[in-house]
Amino acid sequence: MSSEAAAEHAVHVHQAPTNPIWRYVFSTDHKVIGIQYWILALVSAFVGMGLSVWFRLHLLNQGHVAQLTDQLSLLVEGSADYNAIKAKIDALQTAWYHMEPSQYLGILTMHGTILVFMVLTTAPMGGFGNYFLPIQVGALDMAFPRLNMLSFWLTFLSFVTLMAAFFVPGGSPNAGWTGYPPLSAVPDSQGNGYQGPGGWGQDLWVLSIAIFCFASLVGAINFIVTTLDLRTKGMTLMRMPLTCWAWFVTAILALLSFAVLLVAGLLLLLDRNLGTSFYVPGDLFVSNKLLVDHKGGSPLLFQHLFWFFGHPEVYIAIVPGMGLASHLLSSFARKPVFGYRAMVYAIFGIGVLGFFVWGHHMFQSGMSPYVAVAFSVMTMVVGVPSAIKTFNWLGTIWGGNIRFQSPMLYALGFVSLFVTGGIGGIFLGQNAVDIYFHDTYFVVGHFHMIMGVAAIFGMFAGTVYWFPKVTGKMMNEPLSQAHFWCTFLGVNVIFIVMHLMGLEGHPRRYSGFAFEFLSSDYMVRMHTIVTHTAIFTASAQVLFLINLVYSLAAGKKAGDNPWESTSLEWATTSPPPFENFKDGVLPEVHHGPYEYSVPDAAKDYIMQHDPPEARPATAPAPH
Amino acid sequence: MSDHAAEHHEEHHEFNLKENLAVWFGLVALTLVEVYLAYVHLPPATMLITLLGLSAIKAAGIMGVFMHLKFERVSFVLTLVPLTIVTIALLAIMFPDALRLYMFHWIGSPTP
Amino acid sequence: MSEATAAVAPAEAAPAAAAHGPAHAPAKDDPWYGGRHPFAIDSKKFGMWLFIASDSITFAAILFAYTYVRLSDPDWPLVFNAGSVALSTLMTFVLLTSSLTMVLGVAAANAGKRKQAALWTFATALGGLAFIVIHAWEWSHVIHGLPEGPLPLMWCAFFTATGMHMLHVTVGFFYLTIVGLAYLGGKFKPIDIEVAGLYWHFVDLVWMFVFPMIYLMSTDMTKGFGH
Ligand code: HEM
Ligand SMILES: [Cu+2]
Repeated sequence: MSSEAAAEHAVHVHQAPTNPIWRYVFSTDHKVIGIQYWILALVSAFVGMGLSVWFRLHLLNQGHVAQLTDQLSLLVEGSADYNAIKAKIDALQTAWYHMEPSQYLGILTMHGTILVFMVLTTAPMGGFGNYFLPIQVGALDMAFPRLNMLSFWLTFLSFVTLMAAFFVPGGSPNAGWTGYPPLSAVPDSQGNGYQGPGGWGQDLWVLSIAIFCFASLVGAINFIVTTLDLRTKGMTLMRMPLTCWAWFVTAILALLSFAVLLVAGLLLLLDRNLGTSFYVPGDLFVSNKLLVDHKGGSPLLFQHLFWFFGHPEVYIAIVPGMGLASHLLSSFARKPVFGYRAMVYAIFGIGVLGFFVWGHHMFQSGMSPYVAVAFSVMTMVVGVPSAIKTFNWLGTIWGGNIRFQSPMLYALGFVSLFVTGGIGGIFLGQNAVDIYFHDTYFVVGHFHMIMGVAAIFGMFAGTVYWFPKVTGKMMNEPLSQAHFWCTFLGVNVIFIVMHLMGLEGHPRRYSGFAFEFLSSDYMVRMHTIVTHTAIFTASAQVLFLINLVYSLAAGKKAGDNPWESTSLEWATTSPPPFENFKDGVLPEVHHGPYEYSVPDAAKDYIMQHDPPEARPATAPAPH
Repeated sequence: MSDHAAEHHEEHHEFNLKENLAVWFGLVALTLVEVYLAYVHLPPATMLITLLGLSAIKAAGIMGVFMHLKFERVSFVLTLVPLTIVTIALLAIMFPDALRLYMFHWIGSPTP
Repeated sequence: MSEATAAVAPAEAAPAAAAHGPAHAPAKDDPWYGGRHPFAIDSKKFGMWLFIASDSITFAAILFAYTYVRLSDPDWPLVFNAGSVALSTLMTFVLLTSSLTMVLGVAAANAGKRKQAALWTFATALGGLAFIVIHAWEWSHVIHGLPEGPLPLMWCAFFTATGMHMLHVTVGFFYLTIVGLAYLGGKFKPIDIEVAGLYWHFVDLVWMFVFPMIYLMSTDMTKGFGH
C-alpha cells in the first residue's frame, strides 16, 4: 500500500505564464498545443486539397486531349476541322493546370504525404487528443508538458521541411506517398529533366518523415503515460470515455510502428546519400549506368518496413475517429454505448491485428506466396472487430432519442463512410482478387473513402462538438448542416465513381491516357464527374471556414455543457481555465462515461463527476 | 505533473551489490562463450540461433537486474515486455521473402 | 464488489449504497482506481521504458534489415578476423563495465550520496567515451580498407547498425554528463539519475545483439589477427 500512496500524484497548480510568447507560442499547456496541432492540420488540409483539385483538372484536361487526338487521327491534315481541333488541343496543353508527367507525380506525392502525415496523423491525436485527453481523464496537463511542446515543434519542423521540397532544385519528390525504391533510392532517377546532383526533394521528404517519426514517438509516450498515470480518482480504465481508449490504443500503435518507419527512412537516406544499397537491386541500370556491381539489396525490404508501419498508420488515422464516433452516437442518441466492453476489446483487437496484415499491400510485389496467403487470412480477420464496432454503433443508436445536430450528423457520416470503404477493403484483402485490383482506382477509392474522408469526418465531428468548449461559442448550426450534406454527398460521388473506374481497370498514378481504353467515352465521362464533383466539394469546404471564422467572431455563447454530455471536459468552464478545472481541484469520478437515460434518475444523463447518489440504486448496474 | 512527487515515496528495492556483480560476471562470461563459439565452426543457422539465445539471456540479465525490471510490478512487466517482443518477432515474417531472393540470386549466380 | 453488500436485501442496500457508493463501484484501493500510478513507479521512468520499447524496435528493424539482405545473398563474405573480434570483445567489456558503474551510481543516488553518485555517473560516461574512441578507430581502419566502387552490402549493414548504436552512445555520453552535473548541483533528483541509467543499460543491451550478429556472425577466425 505504501508504494501506492507513494506514487500518488501531488497536485501542483502552476501559474499561467504572463509573457504571451510562453503562453501562446512556445507553450507547454496541452490546450494551446492541441490548438496549434489543429491549426497545422487545417492549413495542411487546405494545401493538400488544393493540390488535388489542381491535378484533377489536369487529368480531365488530359482526357479531353486524348479524345481530341483520337478524332484528329481520323481527319485530313490541314483541313479546317483538323486545324480547329489542333488549336483546341494546343489550348488545353498550355492551360495553367496542365502538368508534365513528373510534375504530376510530384504534386500527387506531396498531396498524399501532406494529408496522411500532416493531417490524418496530427489532428486526431495531436490536436483533439492533446486538448481533451488530460481533461477527460481529469488531469492538469499531460505527463510531460515540455516534451509535449517538443513534439509539436518537431512536427512543425517536419512540415516546413516537407514544404521546402516544393521549392528546391529538382522539385517535389515523385515516388508517391509510399516512397517506393528504387525510384526514391536512386538520386538521379527522378526523371523530371533536372540535371543537378540528384533531386533534393526526395531527401527533404525522407528527412521530414524522419523528424515526424521522432515527434510522434515523443507524443505517443506522453499519451500513454498520461492515460495510465494521471487519471483522477475514480477514473478507472473501464470508466474512461471511448475517446480516451482510442487515443490510448493509437498511441501504442504509434509507439510501436513509427520506430520501424524511422528505419525505413534512415536506410533510404543512406542509400541516397552515403552510397549504401539496401534497396537498390543488383543489375539495375539507370541512364545506362549499372548502379551496384554486387547482388544488391531489395526494394521489397523497403516495402516490408514501410508497410509494417503503414498499416498500423492507417489505424492511427482512423481509431481516434472511431472513439469519437462512439462517444457522439451515445451522447446524441441519449443512450449508453452498446457493449462498452466489447468496444474496448474491439479497439484493442483492431490495434493488435493491425500489425499482422501489412503484407496485403504487397500482394503484387512478388513476395513469397505462402506469406501472402497468411496475410490475406489475417486481413479477413480484421473484419471481425471492425464489424463488432459497426454493429455496436448501430446498437447504440437503435431506438435512441436521436438529436440530429451537426456533431451527430458528422458521426453518422463517419460510420457510413467507414462501412462503405471497409467493404472495399474486404475485396482488396483477398490475395487473388487484389491481383486484379492492385494499383487501380479501386484502391484509391477504398482508402480515400475510409482514410481520406471517414477520418476527416471524425475531425469535423470533433471540431463542431468541441468548438464550444474550446472557444466558448457555438458553431453555426445551419452552416454546419449545409457543409455536412455538401461534403457527404460530394465525397460519396467522387469515391464511388473511383471504385467503378477501378473495376474497369483504370490504373492509379497515371498522368496521361496511355491506353486506348482509358480515353474511352466511359472513362472520360467518369473523370469528368470526379473532377467536377471534386471542385464542388472543395468549394463546399469554404462553408466550413466561414463557419469557423463567423462563429469565432459572432457565435452564440455556449454554456458549460451545451450538448448535455457526461464526460469531464463538460464539467469545467468553456473555455477551460489554464489549470483545466476551477482552482486546479481535480474532480472525482463516480460514474461511467455513458450514463444516459438511466432509469429513475433525475436527469436524462449523469455526469461522470456527479455524486454517487445521482445514480439511483434501483437502476441496473452499468456495463 | 507528478515529476516531483515520487522521489521520497517510491518503493526502493534494497540495493544488492552481490547480485549486480554476479550479473556482471555472468555477462562477461557469456560474452566469452560467444567469442569461443566463433572459433568453433558451427553452421550459420545453428550459430545464429545459439548466439541469439545467449544474447537473450544477457538481455534478460541486464533488464531484470541492472534495469530493475525484476523488482517492478508484474502488471508493468506484462504491459511492456510482450508487446515489444511480439512486435519484434513479427518482423520475422519478412524472411520467407529473403529466402526467395536467395533462390533467385543463387540461380542467377555464376558460382552457386 | 464486496460480498457483504451483495448479500443484503435491496431495501437495505440503498442507504448503504448512498454512503459507500453503489455495490458495483470499483474498489478504491485498486492500483487502477485512478489518482495514483498503477505501476507504482515515477512517470519519468515509465516514459523512459516506453522510449526503450520503441527504440528496441528501431534497432530490431535495423538488424532484421541486415539479416534480410544477408539471407538473400548466397555468398555473403566473412569480413572479420580474430583481430577485429578481439577489439570488439574489448568494446563489449568496456560497455558492460560502464553498466556496472551506472548501477553503482543509481544505488548511491538512491542512498542520498550525492557526490559518490555523480562520480559513478561520470565514470560511466567515461566508459562510453572510451567505447566511442575505440569504435571510431576501428571505423577509420575499415573505411581505409574499403574497396573501390559501390559499398558492399556487408559494410552497408555494418556502418548502419554500429553507427546507429554509436549515435546512441554519443547521446548517452552527453546525457549522463549533463544529468550528473545537474544532480551534483542539486537541480536534479535521484530519479533523473535512475532514468538516465535505464537509457544507458539499454544502449548496453543493444550492443549485446549488435556484437554477435554483426561481428561474430561475419568472422572467419582462421584469418588470424592481420588485416
Ligand atoms: C476491414 C478493413 C480493411 C481492409 C480489409 C483493408 C484492405 C486493404 C488492402 C488489401 C489494401 C491494398 C490494396 C492494394 O494496394 O492493392 C488496402 C489499401 C489501403 N487501405 Fe485498407 N483495408 C481496410 C481498412 C482500412 C482503413 C480503416 C484504412 C484507413 C483508415 C485503410 C487505408 C488504406 C490505405 C491508405 C490503402 C492504400 C495505400 C496505398 O497503396 O497507397 N484501410 N486496404
Ligand atoms: Cu492495410
